[in-house]
Amino acid sequence: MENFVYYLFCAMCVGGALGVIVLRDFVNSAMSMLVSMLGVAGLMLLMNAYFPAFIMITVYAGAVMVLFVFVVMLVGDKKVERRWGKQIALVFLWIALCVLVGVFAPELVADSNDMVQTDASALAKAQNYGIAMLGKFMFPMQIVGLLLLAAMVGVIVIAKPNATKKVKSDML
Amino acid sequence: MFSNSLIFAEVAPSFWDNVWSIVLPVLCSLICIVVVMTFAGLSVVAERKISSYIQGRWGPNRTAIPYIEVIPFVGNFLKKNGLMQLAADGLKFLLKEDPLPKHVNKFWYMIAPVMSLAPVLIAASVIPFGIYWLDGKSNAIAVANLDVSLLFALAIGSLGVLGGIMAGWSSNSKLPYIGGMRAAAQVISYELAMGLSVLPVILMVASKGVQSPMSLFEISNAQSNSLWFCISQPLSALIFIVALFAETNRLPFDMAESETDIVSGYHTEYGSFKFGLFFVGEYGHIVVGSSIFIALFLGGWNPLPCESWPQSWGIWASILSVITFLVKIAMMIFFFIWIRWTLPRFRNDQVMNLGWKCLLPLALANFVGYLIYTSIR
Repeated sequence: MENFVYYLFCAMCVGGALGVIVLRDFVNSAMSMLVSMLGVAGLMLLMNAYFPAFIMITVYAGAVMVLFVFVVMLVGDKKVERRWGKQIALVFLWIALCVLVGVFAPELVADSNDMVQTDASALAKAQNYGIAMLGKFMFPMQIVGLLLLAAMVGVIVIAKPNATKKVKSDML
Repeated sequence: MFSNSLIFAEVAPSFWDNVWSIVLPVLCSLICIVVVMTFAGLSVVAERKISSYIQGRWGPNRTAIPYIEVIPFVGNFLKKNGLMQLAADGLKFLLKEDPLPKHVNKFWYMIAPVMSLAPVLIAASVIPFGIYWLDGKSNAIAVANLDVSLLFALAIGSLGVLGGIMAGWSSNSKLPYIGGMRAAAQVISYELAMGLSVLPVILMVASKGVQSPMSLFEISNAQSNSLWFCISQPLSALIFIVALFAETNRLPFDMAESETDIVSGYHTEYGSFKFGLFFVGEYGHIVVGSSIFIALFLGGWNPLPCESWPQSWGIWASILSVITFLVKIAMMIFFFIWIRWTLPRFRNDQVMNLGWKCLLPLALANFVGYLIYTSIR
């Protein structure tokens, strides 16, 4: 039973990730991303890591919603023509990345039965995350926050329309 | 593999223990679903009756079981109360033709109603309906009593709106599309205020020395024999309830399906049972949302502020706690309907202004103010 659920979540992760790069429709891609994120959250649940799992769902479900709004605002429901070269390259890259992880970090793809089980309550308790974030990892946290702020300001600067206003000729 | 996982009970050696460890959670979940769906169904009837009461009409009074009026004394009441309207509505959804328009995106069109109902039922699993004591230790009457159940409920609850968005997009028609986009905009703008408004409550629970202050059970338990959080944190409660109205798409925030300007919003193209799923999902969302509000701010299963069912009553206290919680849900549903017929509905830009320019800064100020208050105290 647990094995079945585990492989179901794995299939959600991998299938969703593949769907993001091979599906033609932007909306389908966005929803595949959601499926992939939900799969990752499910794997975290199986490891008793409730707090990051639900943070994952909260943050990324919201992100998919924003992504969805942007997709339909920027491209509508236009479909891109299937360019086989690009897609094959993407899938190839994806496999290459997996191989890279397998070679350089073999402990990540090891059989989960061989893995040492850490104290389950350490992952489950939300308190431990707070203490870690505001204690030992305070400085990296602030750095990451600053980087994200810089990225956000950059996006706003890039996305800002030109100062010169266009006169709409077709307005009444 | 993950043998000490909490989701699956410890695998016992006996076969029947094995079966029981699967059957018991399924049974609990089914009871929970039945409770939520019953309340959702009854709130449909309540909506009709209370609306008509507020507007000075009779409301549904013809739907009755045939020949029920022959029962002495109560027969006339049973015939006139219109409770069978629930069965009539349900049968109507079941028996009507199920249209599948040609212009829709079939896959997402079919799956969207499920996407809007399923998260509601999943989120219902963490509602603490009551309390029971085992060996002097208090436990929650809930399907799953997680360490971070508040976060779970908010996370899964926000997934529900994706069903509405997908319905609006897949319908491939202008008005549903506008409805779906409005639903997305509304949830994005009110989710932040909702999340920020519960932080002072979590801090307050944590300051009482509770180990897991993000669990709905612990939050409710912290309110027994003390003031409820709607009295000690009134601003948080106000922001949360306004955001809850927006998240559940109830009037005065019914932007996603405003019947006055965009026909029926994101489910305009739906009929029959698919529409029924949206309908039930909306009322289920109200039930689950008001349960979370009750657990957070209205004292959970405690009957009155500074009062609680005594532990010495044993099982009777547990039963009374569940009844208290269910009565509070019914009162919240009445409140939802009462607000619907009392306040005029907003325009779309007013909704956005209220969310971003009023509620979000207010929630932030409330949180920072509480932080300063606790640190100088």
